[in-house]
Amino acid sequence: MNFSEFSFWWVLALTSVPFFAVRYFGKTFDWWQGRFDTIGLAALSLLLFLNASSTSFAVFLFEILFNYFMVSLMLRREADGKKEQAKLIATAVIIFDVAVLAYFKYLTFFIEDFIGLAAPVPSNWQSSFPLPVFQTIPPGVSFYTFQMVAFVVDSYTARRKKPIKLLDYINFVSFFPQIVAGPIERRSKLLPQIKDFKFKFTAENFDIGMRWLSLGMFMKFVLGDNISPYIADGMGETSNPWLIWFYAFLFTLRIYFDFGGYSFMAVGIARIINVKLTLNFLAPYTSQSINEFWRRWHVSLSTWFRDYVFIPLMGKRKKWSAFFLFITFSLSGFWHGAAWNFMIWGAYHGGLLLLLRYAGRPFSKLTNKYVKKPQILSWALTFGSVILGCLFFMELNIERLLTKLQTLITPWAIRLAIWARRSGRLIHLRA
Amino acid sequence: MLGVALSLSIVFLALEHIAVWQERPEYELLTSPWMSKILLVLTILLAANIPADFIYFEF
Repeated sequence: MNFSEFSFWWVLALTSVPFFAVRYFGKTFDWWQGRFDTIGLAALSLLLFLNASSTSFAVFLFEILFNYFMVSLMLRREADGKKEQAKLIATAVIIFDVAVLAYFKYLTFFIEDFIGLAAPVPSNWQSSFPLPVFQTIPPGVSFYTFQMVAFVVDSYTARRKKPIKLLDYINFVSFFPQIVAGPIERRSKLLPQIKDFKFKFTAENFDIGMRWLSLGMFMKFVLGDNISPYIADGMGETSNPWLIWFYAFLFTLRIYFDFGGYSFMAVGIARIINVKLTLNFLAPYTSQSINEFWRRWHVSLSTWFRDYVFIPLMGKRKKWSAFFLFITFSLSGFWHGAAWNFMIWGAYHGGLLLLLRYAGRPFSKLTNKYVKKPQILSWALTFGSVILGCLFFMELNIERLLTKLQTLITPWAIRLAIWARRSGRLIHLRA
Repeated sequence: MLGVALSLSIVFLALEHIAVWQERPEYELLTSPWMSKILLVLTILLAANIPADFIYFEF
């Protein structure tokens, strides 16, 4: 949900006030049942989603119902000892979920940028395409799809395969603080908290929740939003290497304050109603290596890719772990958006991890020998690498990105240009 | 405003560094009761007039 939109808070208040008023009277006159809380949370989450995007609500609702009934069927087949059928159902659901994500997010990119590389694609291909083509993706589709996929896998591999109630599943997938931008929660962590959900307000939860909310709002509205306009102004800068670094640095700050701020607001709102969400960020810019950075940055996505892509891809082929790590990071980059720059960003981070893996030890031996405080050097190198990575992330225009990279590789060119300009002026004056 | 935002960002990141260096939870200093009040007041005073879109909503 968009916490910076007035309509989110307005709809939240508009639905919560009458709901909790009725609940108060219900509890006072002893007719309120526990399941009304579960229904209330589901209704609240779905209403807020409907308010955020009425057009994609139908798709979301269909995905919820499809996943729920298929997972239930899978569990029944497993209980009957038909393991092959259960595996087939799990595979079909995962393919369906990923296909929905691919359709909304990657169709245009796949046809225009991928097929377009091999053969010319007519500019009006969308009009003759058998399915409608969307210009914007439904809110949260990247996040809730991953949560749904994880749920299918975790349900399939769970030791105790207990059936789950529809209302619990709706609350698990559509829990309003985290549906649009995560954290991507797992069955083992969120489901026990959300199962047969009952609102529980305590002074402690309110206090802790407000602290996270306060931190998130400060990060987003003061730091992220005040830095943001300057980045937009500097996107066109391609000739001055210092300014390119500076704007990439601003973007590095902004992306953390923006996304971290959102995640902490989600943690705070959830905590007020007694749900503990995963901390998606753990001070990532304090990292002293790229490995550490990925343990601290977008934790729920990193662990998702580790558990559902990297480990299954690698299997027993541990000799190939470096290759699969690189593939996983490239895919992770692609998850961020249907554009080449995101793939380059993912591959860049995969490459950095491989560099650290093979050159990390000899490098640290060298620095320990000659540098007094090697941890400061490690931090600076890590932070510098992250800033350079953000240049790939922020720049959707590939031509401009290449120009910027060329400027960064040849920083002396600007000095030569200034020198040439000054010399030219001097010659002109003398003449 | 950029100067103010950058100065606050540096203080913010420094507090994270201090927490990590002291082996405390990363956001312990930033979520302490007194700091929460300061952050809330700063948010009211310094929040951007035009909120930017959340970056990750596009993903």
